[in-house]
Amino acid sequence: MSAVPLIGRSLAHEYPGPLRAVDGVDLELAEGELAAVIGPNGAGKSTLLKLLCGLLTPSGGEVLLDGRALGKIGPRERARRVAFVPQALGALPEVAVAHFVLGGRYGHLGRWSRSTPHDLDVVRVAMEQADVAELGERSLTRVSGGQLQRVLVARALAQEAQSLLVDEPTSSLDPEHQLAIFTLLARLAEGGRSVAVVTHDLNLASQFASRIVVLAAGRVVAAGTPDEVLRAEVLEPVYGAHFRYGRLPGRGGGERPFVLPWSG
Amino acid sequence: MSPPSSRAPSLRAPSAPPRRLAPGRLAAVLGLALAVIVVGSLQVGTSDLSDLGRIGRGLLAMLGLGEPLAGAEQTIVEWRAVRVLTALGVGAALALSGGLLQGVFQNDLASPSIIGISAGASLGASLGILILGGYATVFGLDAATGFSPLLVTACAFVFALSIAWLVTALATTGGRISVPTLLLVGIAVNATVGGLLAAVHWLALRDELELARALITWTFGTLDDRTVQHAVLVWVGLAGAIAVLPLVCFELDLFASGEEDAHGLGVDTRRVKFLALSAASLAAAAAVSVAGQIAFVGLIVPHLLRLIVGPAHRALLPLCLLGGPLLLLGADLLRRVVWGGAELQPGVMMSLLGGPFFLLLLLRNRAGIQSW
Repeated sequence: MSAVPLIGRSLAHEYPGPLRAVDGVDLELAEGELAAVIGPNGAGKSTLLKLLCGLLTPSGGEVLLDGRALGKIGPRERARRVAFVPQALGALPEVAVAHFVLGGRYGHLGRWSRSTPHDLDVVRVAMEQADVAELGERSLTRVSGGQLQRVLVARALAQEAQSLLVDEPTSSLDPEHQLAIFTLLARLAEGGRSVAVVTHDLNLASQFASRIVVLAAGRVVAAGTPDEVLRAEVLEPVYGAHFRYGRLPGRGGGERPFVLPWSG
Repeated sequence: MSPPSSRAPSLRAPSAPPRRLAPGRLAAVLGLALAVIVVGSLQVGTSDLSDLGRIGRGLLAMLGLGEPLAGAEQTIVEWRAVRVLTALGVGAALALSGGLLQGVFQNDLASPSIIGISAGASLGASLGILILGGYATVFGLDAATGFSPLLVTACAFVFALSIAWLVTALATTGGRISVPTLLLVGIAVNATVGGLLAAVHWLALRDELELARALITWTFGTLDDRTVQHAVLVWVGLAGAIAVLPLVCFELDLFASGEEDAHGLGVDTRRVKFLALSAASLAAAAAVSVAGQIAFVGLIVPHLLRLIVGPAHRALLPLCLLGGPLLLLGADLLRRVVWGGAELQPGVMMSLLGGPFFLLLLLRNRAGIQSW
């Protein structure tokens, strides 16, 4: 059985106000696994990822990173073990893309934040993997929304963390780059990383994820393989929408389910 | 893995868009301009003493090397040298403080005077003078007598730091600093502290003119009548702030995409905020406690430098140490050349320059500000 580097136990979180964003979630992220977290808007998906990587402190439950309580691990070490790809940035700094990606090396840098040739090499490879190598010299303020999402993935790759938590990486990408990002995430998982990705795209989740976790109102309402989750009994109580269901040949042989939102 | 190419980016020297000037080159230009202005400031004044040879001999004598100049000339040289030394330290400290604050708050509008740190330092200094300058018994502190610039600076620092934390805490919701709230809190703090200052001054004015004069100095920034002790004080405070820079420069670069983002990359954001705010408060307090409130140096200098060299703090903050004195001493020299030493203090000059600059900044960013 593979190791489980990231474990969330009975996680809870509340924002100011009466609602609990996350309410007693258990989630284990194993080595070599790509888990997709799906659910309607406001289900607590992003909050769950932020709890798992230490950006938010849970009001209940705990996160274990390699068997240690996340709160006891220093920020630099945490960043070397778990990387978070945000949906968007608070602000866009006017720096070159390559310099921005180099920020992902912060957890690896020495006392005076001096980068080594190895750091630069990791950055170069990460930018190639995320298909942003040609943007290195461009200012971050002058890249498109889709390019920015790939730059954010590149920066997380530069962290060389075992666990990768990705928040809606494809929301502003064209279909080609949507597939490219998920192919990359799947390849990283196949290489032994633990990847959790929040997405609204049920079909990308079906094609690439080994497991799908369904979140609604802060709770896990279903979890399992795409075949187990992408069924009317599971999805319709959560989304309240009508779907059409089908199957198509998937990656590496075998069939995968697909769902199509279809009114009428 | 292949070796990194020579064009690979470096954390220490980010690959900047080509229109930007290399920090080293700008440092050389600023350094040269500053040297010219320093020499000019030693030459220009109401008394006629512009011979560089004699000024040089006077400076050497000041350091105990060689014979002093005849008559009042030695005093004039020493007076001007102290003034220049103080101005260099004050300008550098204010610009550095502004650069640090703009980095922490990720906003060009932040500066020690705008968010109330300078006013806090001023209040601290005033209370320090009152308590230590003969009013101790009123506050039940019989032991604390005699005027001590160091204690006044300490009071200024404590108040500046308290205000910095108060403003930050009030403007933070859910772990995020809201810039509009920050600026509004700054307005409120400035108004409150201004009122407190006026009350303190009025109370002092009623009884003792000498004390009131000392207090007024802290409200309208001045570089006149400074002593060596003042110059040393501002430089010591500045050195303390500079010592923090290696611990925050790269971290503040990562703050530029948001505090939460920096935290995700492994930055101990609380520690960096604490260090940067403390350094900014120390620098502002040191400047205010020796020269009073001189507004806008901390706003203008980092802003202009960022336009020229880009946002990397490793270049920006050291350059503030050249740009700040250049602006302050340059404006002071200009004033003395144009008005011949009229009663227009540097604090007044900076307000006249900085106020319109701030308005210009608001106008330029109007679209962005309206979406706040």
